[in-house]
Amino acid sequence: MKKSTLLGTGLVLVNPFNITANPLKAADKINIAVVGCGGRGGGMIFSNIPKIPSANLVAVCDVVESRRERAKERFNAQYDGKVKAYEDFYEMLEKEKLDAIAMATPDFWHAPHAIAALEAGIPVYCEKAMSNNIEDAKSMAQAMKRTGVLLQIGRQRRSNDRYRFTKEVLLDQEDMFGQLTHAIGQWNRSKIWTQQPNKNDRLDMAKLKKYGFESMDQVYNWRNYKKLGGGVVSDLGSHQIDIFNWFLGAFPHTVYASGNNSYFGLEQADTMATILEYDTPKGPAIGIYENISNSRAKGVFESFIGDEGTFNIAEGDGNQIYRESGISADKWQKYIDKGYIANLADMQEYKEKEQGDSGIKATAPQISYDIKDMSGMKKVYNMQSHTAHLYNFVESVRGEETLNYDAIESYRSEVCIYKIHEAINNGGARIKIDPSEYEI
Amino acid sequence: MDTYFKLVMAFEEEAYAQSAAEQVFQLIDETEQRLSRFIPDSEISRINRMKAGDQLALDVETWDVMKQAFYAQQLSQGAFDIGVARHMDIFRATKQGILTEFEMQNALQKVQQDKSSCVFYLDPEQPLIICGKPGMQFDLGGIGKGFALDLAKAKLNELEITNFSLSAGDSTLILGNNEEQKPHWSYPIAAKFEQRVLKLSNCSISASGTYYQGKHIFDPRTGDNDMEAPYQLVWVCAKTAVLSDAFSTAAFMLSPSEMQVCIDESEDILWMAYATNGKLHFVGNDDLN
Repeated sequence: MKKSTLLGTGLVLVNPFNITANPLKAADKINIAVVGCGGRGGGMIFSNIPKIPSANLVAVCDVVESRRERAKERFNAQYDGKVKAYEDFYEMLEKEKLDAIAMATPDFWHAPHAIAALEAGIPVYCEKAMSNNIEDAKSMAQAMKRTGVLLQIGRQRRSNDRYRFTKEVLLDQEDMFGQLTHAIGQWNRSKIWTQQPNKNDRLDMAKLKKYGFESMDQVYNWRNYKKLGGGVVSDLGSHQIDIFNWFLGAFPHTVYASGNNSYFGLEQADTMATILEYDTPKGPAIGIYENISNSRAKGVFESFIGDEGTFNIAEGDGNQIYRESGISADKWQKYIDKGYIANLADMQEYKEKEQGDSGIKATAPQISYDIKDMSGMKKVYNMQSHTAHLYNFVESVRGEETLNYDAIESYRSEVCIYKIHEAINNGGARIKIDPSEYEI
Repeated sequence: MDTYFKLVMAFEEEAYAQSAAEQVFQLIDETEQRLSRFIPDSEISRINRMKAGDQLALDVETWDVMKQAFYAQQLSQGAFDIGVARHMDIFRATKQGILTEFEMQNALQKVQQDKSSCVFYLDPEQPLIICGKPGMQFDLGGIGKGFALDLAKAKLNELEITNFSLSAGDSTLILGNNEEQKPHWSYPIAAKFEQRVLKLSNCSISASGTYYQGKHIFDPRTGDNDMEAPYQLVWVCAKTAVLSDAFSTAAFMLSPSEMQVCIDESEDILWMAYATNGKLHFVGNDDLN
């Protein structure tokens, strides 16, 4: 196919536009460092930060030499950067002129590093969970309040456009689903991560003990140890239970939970279920959350059931909206007309106008809907949620936005997570939560 | 990608091999999250929602696979094309009874017109795509599995695992072998009246057939799906799984001489094969004929 024809097919490799603004470049950038160069830190370095024009990566930090050096070398080669690599967080804090820090370290390091940075006046983006204990989580939120320096926690659904659209437009503005009575969530996966060091990783266990790790397995699989991480409830459940709280507009007053480590036999629970009781502004509601670590067949999702409609929402597939049978199609037509939702697999534009008095159709009409255009939103990031959440933080540091999810809001969701831990550790206890426990 | 992946590898430490397999399958999951148009937060879904004037920064991986798709489109003279998502939606909606065949025909004409007038600019210098005029939606179903296999191969090599076989849904296979330890992998191909076992080394092979996928094939150059397949089966062997995957679909629309042109113009396509009248025919490798 000749090039002239290619232009007609749409994808071209010559610049046909007068591009005046390059989204990958910005005049005033903030200098940012990433602490922790493992899976999530690697995502920040190679997938999130390069798409944020106002972020300039200047340093990476990791206690594993080969991990930090690989990150530095790859980033500098790929993006013509001048990133420096540090083993010691406090040395980096002293030597670099940082405007912000993004942390992707094991949970037990979050509080000391974050508080040190906030005390030094440096805003922090910290991966969830805030910590592996409620005291440290509270101290982080208190440090943000005391210093007035920004601390955003990495529950990225809070910056996901579809989740924001659902909350801001469909729930708060349109009240589309009536009274939400149930929130149901599951995170299903086949296996708990048990990684081995790579052949080319260089590890000095004597040095790593200085940083709180007692074995090689603790370095790579810290999530499986109670003194280092929070296990499945914190790692996975907290993302989804936080959405229960956000969409229901309330925090649970009571939790019941049960769990065990019977399937994999690791230190942390691999299987758990919890029931959360809410008093929402519209009335009582129940949250039901489960974590399954031996089958991924049903995926990861949150469902909300209201008396006028139900929706499934997920970061993967399985997103769907259903109108309750007692609600007429006409009542929801306005949402279609506004471009919020679509049905008929978005094929309406190809349908012929109805002719005659009645028709014989081969299949039943479609009754489910998808989110279509996120119109009516002040801001649509159009970014993957991890990038959008970090972007929101960077722009907040620059004074252009406000944080979507600060440490005080996060702490409230973490309270019920720690109460679930408490219920599991007490053999399935019923735990009451006083409203004052959510306050900082 | 709605299929299964199967990894076979040789390594002296079981725990290390198990950990490597987990890393490979995680990488495949991440690739699907990035490239599936059925996941609303994927990069491809975001590209498919672009409006006129929108600019979108891409992951390096998405940028890379889009460039490779563009190369395959050029090389195959349009027989391979990722800009056909809307056509696929229309076929699916017709099968589900949402559209009548009459409506389908009109819809296909409309999306083909929209596609021919739209403009996207994929920046060759940096991971960026710009929408000049929307009208085409992308589906990487014909290349995504191959791309995932190429990434997996790079990961296995990084982990110092050199002897492996990784297949995506039995239709695309990537093979790695340290020739001193394992000279080749054996790969059987068969037509109705002929079967051969090939010795393959450090390459990828993809197969496609009408037996399972139907005799009528979709031609992205015309937008029609009533083209009669000239072959019962095709195979493409290449240095990369992206190319073997892409051309195993495109080859149905290429004559043997056009297949030869593609092989001659590409350093990475090694040979192609097709089955007609129950017999095997090889293009680009006379030793196999």
